[in-house]
Amino acid sequence: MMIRNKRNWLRTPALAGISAFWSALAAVAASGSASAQLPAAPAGASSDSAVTELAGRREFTLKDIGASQPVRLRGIEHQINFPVAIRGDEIVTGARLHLRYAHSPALVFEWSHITVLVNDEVVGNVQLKPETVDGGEQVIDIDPRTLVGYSKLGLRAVLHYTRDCEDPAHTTLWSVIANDSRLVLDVERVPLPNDLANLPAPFFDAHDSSRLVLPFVLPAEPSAEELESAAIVASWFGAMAEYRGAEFPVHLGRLPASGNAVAVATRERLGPALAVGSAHGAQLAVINNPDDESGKVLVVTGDDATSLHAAARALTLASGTLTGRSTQIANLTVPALREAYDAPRWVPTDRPVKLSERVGAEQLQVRGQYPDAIRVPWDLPPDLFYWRSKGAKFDIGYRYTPTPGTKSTLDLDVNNQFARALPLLMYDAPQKLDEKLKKKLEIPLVAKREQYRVPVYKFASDNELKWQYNFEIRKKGECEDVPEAYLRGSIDADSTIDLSGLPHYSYLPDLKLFTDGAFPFSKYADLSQTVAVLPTKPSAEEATTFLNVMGHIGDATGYPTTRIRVSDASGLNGANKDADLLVFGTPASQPLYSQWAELLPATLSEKGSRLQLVGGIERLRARFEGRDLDGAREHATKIIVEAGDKLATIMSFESPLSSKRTVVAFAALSGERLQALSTLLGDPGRRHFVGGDLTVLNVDKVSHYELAPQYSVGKLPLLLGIRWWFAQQPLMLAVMAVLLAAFSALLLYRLMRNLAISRNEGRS
Amino acid sequence: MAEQELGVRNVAPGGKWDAKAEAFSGKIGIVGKLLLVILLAFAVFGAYAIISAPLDLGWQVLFASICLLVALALNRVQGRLISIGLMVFSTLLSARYIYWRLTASLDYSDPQYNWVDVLFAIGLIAAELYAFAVLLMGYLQTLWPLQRTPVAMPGNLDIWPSVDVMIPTLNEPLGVMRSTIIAALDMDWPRDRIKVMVLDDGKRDEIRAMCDELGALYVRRPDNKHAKAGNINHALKFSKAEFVAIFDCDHVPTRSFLQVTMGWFLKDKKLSMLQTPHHFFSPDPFERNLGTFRQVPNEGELFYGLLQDGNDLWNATFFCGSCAVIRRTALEEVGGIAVETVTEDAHTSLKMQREGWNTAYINLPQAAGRATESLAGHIKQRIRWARGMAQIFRIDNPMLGAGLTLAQRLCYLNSMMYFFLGLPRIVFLTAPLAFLIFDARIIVAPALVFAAYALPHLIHAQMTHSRLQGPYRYSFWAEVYETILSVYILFPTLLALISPKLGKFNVTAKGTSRSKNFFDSKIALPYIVLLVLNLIGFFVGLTKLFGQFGENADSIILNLLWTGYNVVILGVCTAVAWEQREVRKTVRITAELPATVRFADGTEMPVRTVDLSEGGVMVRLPKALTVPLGTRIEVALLPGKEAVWTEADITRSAGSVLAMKFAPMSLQQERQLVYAIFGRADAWLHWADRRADDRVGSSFKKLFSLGLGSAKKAFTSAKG
Repeated sequence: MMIRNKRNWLRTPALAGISAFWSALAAVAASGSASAQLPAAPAGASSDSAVTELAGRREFTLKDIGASQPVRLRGIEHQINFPVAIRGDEIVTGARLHLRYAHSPALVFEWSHITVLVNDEVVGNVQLKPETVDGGEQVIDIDPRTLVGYSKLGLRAVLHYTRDCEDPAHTTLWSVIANDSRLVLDVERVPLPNDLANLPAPFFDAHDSSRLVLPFVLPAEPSAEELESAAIVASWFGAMAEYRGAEFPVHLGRLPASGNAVAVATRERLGPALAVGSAHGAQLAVINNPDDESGKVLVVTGDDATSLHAAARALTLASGTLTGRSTQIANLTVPALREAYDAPRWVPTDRPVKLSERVGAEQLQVRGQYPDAIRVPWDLPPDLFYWRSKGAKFDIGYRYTPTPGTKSTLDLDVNNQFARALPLLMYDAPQKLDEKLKKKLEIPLVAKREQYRVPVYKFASDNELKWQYNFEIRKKGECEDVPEAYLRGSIDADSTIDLSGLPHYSYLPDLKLFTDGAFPFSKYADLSQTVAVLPTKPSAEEATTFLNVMGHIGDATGYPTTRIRVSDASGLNGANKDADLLVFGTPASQPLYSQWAELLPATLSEKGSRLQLVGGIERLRARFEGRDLDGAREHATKIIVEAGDKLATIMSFESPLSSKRTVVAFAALSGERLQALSTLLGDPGRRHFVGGDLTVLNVDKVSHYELAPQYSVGKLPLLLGIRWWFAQQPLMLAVMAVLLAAFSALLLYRLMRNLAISRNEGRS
Repeated sequence: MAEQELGVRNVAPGGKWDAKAEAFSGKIGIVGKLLLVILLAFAVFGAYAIISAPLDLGWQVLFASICLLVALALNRVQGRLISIGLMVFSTLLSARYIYWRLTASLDYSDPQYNWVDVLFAIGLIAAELYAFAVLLMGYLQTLWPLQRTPVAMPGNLDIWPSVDVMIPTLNEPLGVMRSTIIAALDMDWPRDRIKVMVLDDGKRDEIRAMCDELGALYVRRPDNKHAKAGNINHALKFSKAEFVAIFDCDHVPTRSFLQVTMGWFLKDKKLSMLQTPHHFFSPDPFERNLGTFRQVPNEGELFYGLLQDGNDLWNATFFCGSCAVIRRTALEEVGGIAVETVTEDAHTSLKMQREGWNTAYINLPQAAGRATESLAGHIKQRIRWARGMAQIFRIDNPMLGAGLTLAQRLCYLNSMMYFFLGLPRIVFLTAPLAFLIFDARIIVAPALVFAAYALPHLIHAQMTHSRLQGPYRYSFWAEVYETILSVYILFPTLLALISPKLGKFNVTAKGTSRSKNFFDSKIALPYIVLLVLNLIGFFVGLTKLFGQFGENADSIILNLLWTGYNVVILGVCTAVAWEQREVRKTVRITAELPATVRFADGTEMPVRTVDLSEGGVMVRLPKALTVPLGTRIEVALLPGKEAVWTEADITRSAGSVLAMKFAPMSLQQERQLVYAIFGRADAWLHWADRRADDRVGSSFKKLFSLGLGSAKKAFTSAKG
């Protein structure tokens, strides 16, 4: 499933609706994909092929809009829809569908065809012929006026194998449409008016499923508050971009030549090109890009740190209330601190949570003989401690059209691992019916509710629950079979899943937790416990890396990083010491890398990078824990040498300034390689390879290692903690047993002896 | 009476470590108390960790190995400190196993398991929980056997209290009773303060005549209501003494019985009952049929040697119906001997203890009797005990009601729980068959993991039991004794639980006389069935092991070992049913006593006896001497101040050994003989002195060869 119909953290009704639309369409598009008969589009040519051009031509393959596999249409009539969305600042002037297809050779060809529909209106037909059995190609022109905003591209196959009575489920009734079939659109740019009410458009348009690339303009030597404010804005965009990924290339002291951008600076440092009037205090404005007619610049400014921050916060937390070309922000109050683990992206784990809190009710319904899966994202804090947990309590209500057979099921998968199947029986009526009556009645719908536990080992931080209705096909005989299109199934929106009682406890450093859920920084969604350490004068690449990481964290939490602190190495004192640290820079620009050389898993240097030496105790411990430390070191050394000056690393270790605090450092030998590290986080294909305490990027290969000892963060309940600790320590358990026996024996000896004396003295 | 002469046997004699532990037994100050509280808190959490911390297979094996090595090393050290330590160790590891069993081996939620699996699994876990509970209560009972010593009677005879000796009888033969009555009459006690009452429910005139002859009081009642309890209660109306000593009519007391026991009643005014062991000078069916008399401790020794002594620490010794003294006021307070259950003895002491009375136990055999003669008789008696205990459990449960300490409740409870062993025992005997024959998955865990958790539990319990119980019961013999009973007490106990009135159950022996060897197939049938089932299971398992190309090999091997063990135990049980012919009518007691023989010519010669019985005596002469058979001589046993001469005829003369048969005796001669055989204070004290210590390995080997012998016998008799 390519389009992850993940999250809608924005509670504005309009956006929530859009998000739901995407999800629904995506779910539709994902169905009907069975075996590949035509060669699939090569992997990797996926999202990147849908490159945004300023104007002119846009191309999507079916794979880009949801068909991860070739589309299989079967039966006498089968339709599959794909979402097509047009950016709000573009109109389509011409559209063509390059369709590649193949089909069964055993068809009655004059009766068999594939129909192309847009928003349920027919735009073209493809007649199936004996010549196209092994593959045909046809270009279908589409009326461009039908493609506005969110549209639905439908492919419907009508297939027949005989002129007599037909079995609608006959195996000869198949056709396949290649998922590299292309939809080509000619578009023209229609600039939106400069109005804050359009935000986040045109800077981010939810219609656009391609990667968000949004340049940031900062003064030549950005100050801490400017970087902080830029970070707030970048994380906001990162959160909205979700699955699309987001990059924020930074331009220091200059505007990008064309296109949209965000400018963040205090007022006197904005420069003449971005002058937004002589107002005072926090201000937000949308202006034209002086260098590009059709480009816009979002200006975030203020007089000082306080007002600049206020402007960024107003943009990210109250964008729905903004109107006009420019607006003054009167409210400078800082929002209250976020509680731990309250990131909007995460399902609360202190209570049972209803499905309706995470998805709309319309996403919980499916229909048809081959219904789509019902998918519910269920993201959890990355540091939940699942050990010895009884499992998640599912209390799920479901309704379905009963089928006459007994083989219909409702399957539950958690992260594509099978978890549970429930039989969908004919007469499970909600109310008790007389047995005879039951047999007479065709009950149109059955509603049930069941409670069960799902083992938690199937859960991670980033989960997808998938309910699949499997309706049995009832064979009645020729001319009697009817495709059972009326079949419906749904999951009740008030169904709950309860993961409460799980403690927060994890072992760090573990970069996997950082890539999956931005942990430990995301524990407080506003990043109130995080300090980002940048070089005193960050380069454009270093600032870009910083903002990309902020975008990643925003995506992980669904909340802007409103309380991030930015500092340089010299500012790590006072309150900044007791914080989780994000460190950016090259060995030349970031003095912490030499100050903390002993702590870093690897030391980078132009003359030759090397791994940190490992002590004897650590070696013994690694052997005891069954880790092949020497093998890992050998491999890492090879990769580092191979990489040469292309070496880039993400490292994590315990902060020397405060125990149980974590440092995640982005270090590379050049700015360009540093930036490559941050794009890695948004790359779904390669981010899995980030992990351990040392992740190495050499040219384009990613590998990770666990070299240093881990430390625990979080707290376990006392009894669970005792069990967990001893479960790791069989020797201590044996020692404990001996000590306990010795102590108890001495105590009991004393008690029994004294009791015996008193009994022998005739006292009772 | 000198205590050292009686020599109380130690459970495990104290050593240097016990001496060191004594240092911790003095007064402790505030700092010490504070430290103790902290350590206790640590101990609670430590115990929680040991019981509940899950370990992977390899680490559990490592953990278990360390624990085993430590325990083996400690087990070499003598003394009670280590005994207690090993009990704690065993408790922890067993609790760990049970915790694991309950939390990690019972997940039957997977639909691949069916109700057969679940049924067997429930049966097995219930049996294991029962065994675990009994194990823990057993440890509590044996934590510190009190080994109470007698209190000397005061020099002033005037304050010695009056005692009525009651000997209830129903249908026992006259000959058996005669020695008892004679011995009771001859007990060392002021004549004016002792009365012997024979309570005859058999209403036999010949008993009345014998009582008149011997000088005992004969009591007969119009009805036989409430059996023995009613009999005693009836007699209490005619008795005015402050104390009542009760003997079964075949339990012959020593002369010292009252002097050994009565001292405690003077010292402890709240003492209601003092029990002494039931000692048997003849082999019980196990000993006779297996040929282990005086080689292997018999079934009762554990109870009288260890458990009652252990109960005594907790003030929870109970009355066993005979060889005990009861304070009349205490007995009257609870309305006499209890009549509600068929184990009136235990119930009576429970009732007295609920009223706040103490009980005591002196582990010195001061009376001896004949063991049950046939296996059927043995089982019949145990069924009555089991049913009675189940009745008490049902109508007067020691865990409920007022007046008892927790430890008393648990000790009584365990004595009752023991008799519910029927079902669990059968479950253990058949559980591996469920897997081998029916493919039922009785434990949802890999076999090796199960072994890694279960073996420490079994091994430590076995080791600790061997240490504590070794002198009173050899390793694995409990399995034999319990297996024999299990089939027969299962229904009586269950029925008694449902309604105390139900569960009457009669076992009859095959009606063959005791004059020749025979196999009591009627009694042995359940064991034979179980044995055959286990053998079938064993061979099915073997075929599976080799037929499935090693699939499930670990589970199969584990169950084969289990089944093999069951086969051995059942083999021995079957062997017990080979009833052996009784060699002689009267029991011959081995005893080296001073005696004098006088030949017809008047020459007297001091000799030592080799053994003696009611019919004759064998003596060793100081020098070899041949005496013609049939020669009449005179012998004086235990010639003290005045010798009692008895005529006897020589039946054998070989070297210095001379055997003779007594001529008909006068009452005085008879009294002297009863005194020599039964009446000596130390008559039964050194009974087990020459028995070897318990060794786990050789004990199992012994059982193995007994089981094999049984199979051989079955084979040859089938051929014959």
